[in-house]
Amino acid sequence: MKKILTIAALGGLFAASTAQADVNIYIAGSTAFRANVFRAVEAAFDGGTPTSINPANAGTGTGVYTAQGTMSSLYGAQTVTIYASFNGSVQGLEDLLNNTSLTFTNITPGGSAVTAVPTITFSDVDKSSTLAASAPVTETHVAILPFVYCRNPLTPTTVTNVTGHQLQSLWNNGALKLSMFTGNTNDDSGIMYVTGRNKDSGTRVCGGSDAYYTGSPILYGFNTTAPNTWTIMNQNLSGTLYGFGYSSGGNEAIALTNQLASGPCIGYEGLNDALTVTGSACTGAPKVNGGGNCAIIAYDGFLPFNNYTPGNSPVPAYPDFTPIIEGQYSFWSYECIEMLNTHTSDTTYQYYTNMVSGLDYDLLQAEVNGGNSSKYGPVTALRLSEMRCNRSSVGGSITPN
Amino acid sequence: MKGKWNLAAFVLGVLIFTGAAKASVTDAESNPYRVISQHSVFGLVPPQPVATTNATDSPPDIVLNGIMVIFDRKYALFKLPANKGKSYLLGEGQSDGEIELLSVDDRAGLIKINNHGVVQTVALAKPPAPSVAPAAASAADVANNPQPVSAEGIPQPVMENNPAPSAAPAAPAGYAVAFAGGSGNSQGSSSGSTSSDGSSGSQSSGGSNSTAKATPDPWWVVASKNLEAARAATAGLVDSGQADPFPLTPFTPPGTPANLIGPGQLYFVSQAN
Repeated sequence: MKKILTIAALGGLFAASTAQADVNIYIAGSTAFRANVFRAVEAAFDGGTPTSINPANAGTGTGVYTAQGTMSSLYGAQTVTIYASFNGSVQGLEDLLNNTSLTFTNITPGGSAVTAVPTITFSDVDKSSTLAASAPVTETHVAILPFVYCRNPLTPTTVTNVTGHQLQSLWNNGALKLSMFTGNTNDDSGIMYVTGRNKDSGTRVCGGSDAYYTGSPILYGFNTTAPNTWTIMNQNLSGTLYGFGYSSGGNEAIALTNQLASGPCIGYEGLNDALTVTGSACTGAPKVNGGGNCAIIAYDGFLPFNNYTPGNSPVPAYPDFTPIIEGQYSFWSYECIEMLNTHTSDTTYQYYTNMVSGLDYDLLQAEVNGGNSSKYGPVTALRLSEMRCNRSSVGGSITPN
Repeated sequence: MKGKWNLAAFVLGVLIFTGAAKASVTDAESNPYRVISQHSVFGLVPPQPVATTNATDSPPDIVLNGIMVIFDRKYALFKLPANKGKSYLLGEGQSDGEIELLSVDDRAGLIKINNHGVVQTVALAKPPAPSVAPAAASAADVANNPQPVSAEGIPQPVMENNPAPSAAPAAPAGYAVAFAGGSGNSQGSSSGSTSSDGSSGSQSSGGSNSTAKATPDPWWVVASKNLEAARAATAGLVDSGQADPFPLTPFTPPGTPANLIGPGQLYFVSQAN
């Protein structure tokens, strides 16, 4: 009898612990798409907001945060904690491939850091175009992510376009004669530098692929000993796999808005980070122009949207993306959500599928509000359903639907 | 007995040697072999007296851009703005025309040079002083995040693109490059001329040995110097297989280890132009 009671008690304890099991989701990957992901993460909680979030002022630009609450429709009364640490598209895929643990923030401010392997990552490019092509993941396209080239405050306003062939040479050399970009022989003695991201970056993968570039780029940036002097980036970043270059689009944007920079420079950005360089007409969440001659410039003769003149106006809050939609502007990619393909019906799978629809809803809301919503901000990505063309691979040919 | 013979031999030797010496002086003008040295078939020239510093005609200014030490051999990279900005890369004891590099003090950043007959000591041109200090992470950031974070909260390494020196593997022994102005000889658009949009751009040039304005380096010289500085900075990483080597440039020092030179060549065409 005593034995039976003991077993029953243990069973009761087990049942209780099962009922109270928390759901933990660990998100990593793309920095370029983090604004959309942040909003979708928040929206999935009951009432459209988590009960707690650390840091308390986390927003669409935050790269590391943890949110907690309940999602009744998905997990009933279970406590759901979403850990997010965006570290780059390719790095996220590598983490899934190699079972690499990342460091996340504790939901309790000041609490111990949480270490875990990410369960869901975002990538700006298809895994097949990356060094993690063999990652055993389920991959789903969730949006069209436009990329752009930005000029810094010191770049002459006559630099309004860059071609793929110029970029090939610019990346190979790191710097070229400025007149090659302005067309003015007075600029023969000037220098155009190029900056960029490390190999963790999907933006870098997409930029290189779209310009048919296969080399090892020489990239310029700033360091703490010479914060205003363009210097060839020459250190691998600790904790990441590879590459000289900025580890986030946000950091690159800071470099591209340095008013004291030692000369002209251009670099690629996801549109959301580009807005911090060029300014946005969004009234809900205005993004200030980086100053000087900062602007988005055309690529291969086309801007990603209409009704914008480099340097003359901020980027429209809801840009007319016709050049992308119709296939004229090619520097874009499919934003992908990834998880290990072993998840087929568990809590991770549930969250994954919910996030796919949640992101499309987020894009729709940004458009419905004309890009002027303080919640949804400017429109910086396109819904898949808007496209009238498609491409089979990153940087690959574009064909009409 | 034997001691007497030794003494005699010594005296005789002294007499013979003294006599020969005298003969060499007295017979100098009538020496029949003198014509041989006068012909100077090897093009030898007698040593010229070297003035020290008080020459009346001042030699052209020299801008010392870099000092390199490669397997104990010291080189200096400098230019003469007055001579169309011609650049020189000389090792100790080497000369080019009226310029001879006498010695290099790589620790002090000084070279001693015979500049058109005037011995000068020239210091490395100094880089422009940074005017803005990098922002420091707040204590709260550090407390809440075990990794440093960027402005937007992206996890960062200890220093973005500029980790502590101890983090990088050491460069191979015997290879070092130092250029004035750090690796980024700053140069804005149009270099003083009118830019295509009328903007002046930013511009600063490394100063040097007390001369006034120095002509800005051509773009490919700036880029080459930057790259050589980066090659030196990444030598340890390349050696340990953690980074790819940079391509050859016109400023790649002779004797640079082959494994530090990647495929491709940069700026040689520009140099020819």
